[in-house]
Amino acid sequence: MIEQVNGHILAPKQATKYPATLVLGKNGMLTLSSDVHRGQFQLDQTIVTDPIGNMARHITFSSGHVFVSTNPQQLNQWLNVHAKKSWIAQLEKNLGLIIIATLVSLAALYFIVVHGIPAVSKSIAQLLPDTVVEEVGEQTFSLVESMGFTESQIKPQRQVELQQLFQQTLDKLHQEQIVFSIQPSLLIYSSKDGANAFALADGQIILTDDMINLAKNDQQLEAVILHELGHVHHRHVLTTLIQSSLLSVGAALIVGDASGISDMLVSVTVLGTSLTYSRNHEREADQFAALQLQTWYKNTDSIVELYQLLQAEHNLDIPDWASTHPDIDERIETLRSDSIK
Amino acid sequence: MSTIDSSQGSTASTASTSTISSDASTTSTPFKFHGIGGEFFGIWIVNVLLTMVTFGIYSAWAKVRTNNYFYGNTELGGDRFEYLAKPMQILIGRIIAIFLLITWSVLSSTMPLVAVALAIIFMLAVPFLAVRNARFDARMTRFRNVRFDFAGSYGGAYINLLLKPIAAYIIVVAGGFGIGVVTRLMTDNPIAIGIAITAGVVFFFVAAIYSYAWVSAGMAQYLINGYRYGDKAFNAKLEINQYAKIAVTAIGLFFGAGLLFSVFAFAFGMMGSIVELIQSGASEEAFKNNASLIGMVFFGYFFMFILSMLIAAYVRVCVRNYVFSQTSINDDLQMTSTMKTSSFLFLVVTNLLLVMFTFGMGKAWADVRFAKYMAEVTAVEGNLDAFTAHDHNEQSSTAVADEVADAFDINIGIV
Repeated sequence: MIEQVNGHILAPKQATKYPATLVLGKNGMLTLSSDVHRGQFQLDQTIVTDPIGNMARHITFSSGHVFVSTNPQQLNQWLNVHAKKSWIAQLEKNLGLIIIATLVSLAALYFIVVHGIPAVSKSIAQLLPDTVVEEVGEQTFSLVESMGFTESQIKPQRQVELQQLFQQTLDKLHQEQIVFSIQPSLLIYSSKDGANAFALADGQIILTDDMINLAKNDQQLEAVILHELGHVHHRHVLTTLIQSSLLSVGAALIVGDASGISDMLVSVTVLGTSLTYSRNHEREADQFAALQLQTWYKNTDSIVELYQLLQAEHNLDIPDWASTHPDIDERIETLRSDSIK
Repeated sequence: MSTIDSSQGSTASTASTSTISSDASTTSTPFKFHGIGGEFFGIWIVNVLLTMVTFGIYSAWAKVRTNNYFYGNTELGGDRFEYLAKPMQILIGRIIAIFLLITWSVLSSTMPLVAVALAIIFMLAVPFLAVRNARFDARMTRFRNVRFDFAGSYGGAYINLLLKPIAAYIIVVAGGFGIGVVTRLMTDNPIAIGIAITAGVVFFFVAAIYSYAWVSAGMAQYLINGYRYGDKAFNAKLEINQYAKIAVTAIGLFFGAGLLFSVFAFAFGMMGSIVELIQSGASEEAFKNNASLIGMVFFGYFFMFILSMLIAAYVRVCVRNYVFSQTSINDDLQMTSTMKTSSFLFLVVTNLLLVMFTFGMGKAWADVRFAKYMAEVTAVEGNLDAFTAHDHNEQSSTAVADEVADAFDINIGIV
């Protein structure tokens, strides 16, 4: 079957076009006629654009002239028969492969978000030298100071006792071969926001007056300190920083457009995922505390009691998925079951 | 023989051949994008799969195939654009770039001081990299057998991409605060200080708007005037006032909408909530228990989100339309852009939802929709077929620096 396609020809390195026709022969023979270039050519002596989807293809002759068809489908069909096949283009049209690729990609995305990013962040956080850890700790500390924490109202005598309790806890951990590369320290502050305790990147642990007053005995305070030391031990603050930057970069790569218009929605998604990570960190810190309490006292009662006290004080109803901490009932339940083991 | 343009379906129809044209100038040739979402999805997902399987090595081939698809499906006056970069070039560039990045991160994590030095070096390198990046991208683009090029000077890049932004930043910040501080040093009179602070704030806003306009116009003008199509130069003369006008309107929209929102917020219950709050002693507990106030805060946040998207879209549309209206090629061809804020915003929002609700799988369709829209709103005025250009002879396939710069992907967004 001999076909003829109309089109135009472009002279070498010149944006000028001349009308042309191309006769497509049976055996890959091309007959070109135009004002500037004519003759018979074998298809394998020319360069043909790679097939990608149904994109219009064109033919470059050895002289540098390029033939462009006004009816791309017709030329493409002929080229599909006569020109060299591209296996990659075949793959891209293979429905089975497309379905498999989609499923694999979704699975990979799930795996990366749920396991990959936390694992990578964790190992990066562990690898970072202490100088970085100290730097980040100082940065967050200056933030803490500006967040409305004021001088503690706890009696100096009691504060000394608490420092001793803290030191004893560290010593006991040391006996268990749990050592901190940067020595943790305890800070006591007064806060309007009620009972609270948290750890900074460099191992500084902050307890609020209300938390100290809330606890019924020193064992409960020891449990809180252990929980916070769990955060320090696992370098959670740094891990969180790395996680959120990895997530932001990843999300921007997928969704991002140059205009930055979608940035805000991306950051909401990142925030949602970060909250899940944060809840996992709380569970990990609980586990750390539970393990020690179990070893020292054969039960985890002190931390369970403290969480019950906290629960009684805060009855704010934040939905689970919107919270940085897991549901307290769930945590108490987990800690209780740790105790039985 | 039928005319060359018969297939275009556009209004453009110049005389049959290329050589002479009697009726030039006023014809408009629109861009057209022929890609199809479903088709591109196949290409995209195979790219993703192969990139994963080859631990990222295939990403260079993926980039070339993607660009080939988008360039090759973009039509102007019966001809398609072409992307000429070879995967190997891009792979080499990427390997070097990754090597540099790793060196950087290792050095900066072990020696914090080195990190600072490297950050400064990188900042100083940005204009250079941007020039090489623009040149690589331009030279890898061909239309009608003629390649584009970027011939902007390094000096121009350093002035427009580095010095002007720094100068603007200093003027805005130092000027705004300076007025307040100097007055405070000279007098203790509270009225004088009040006036000075007001003046400082006013100066801050005016300076910010003009600096934005000055920097943006400078950058865009520098970049456009650097572009070549073969031996023909792109020209643009951009006025700072036009940019300032857009910025003022955007800020006006922002405050206007914010004011409107506050009025509505007070009208619908927030006033009552506040009175209630004051009666209950304005304690923190009371605030937390005040459902309507919390609702208002959430709604306010959502509103701000929508508003900032709207304004970002508005600015982008206005700037693109203006810049294109000022851009010509060798005074023969005139670029036009007819974007509308409403349709562009609709496109961006629907694309975003499409990508989010398909966990990223809808990106292929989103990209195609974006390309289709951008092609639809862009045209070239003038007699395209009578326009002749000759390819420049510079070889760029040997310039590794271009490829490395391309791998860092420092594109300066101007429209």
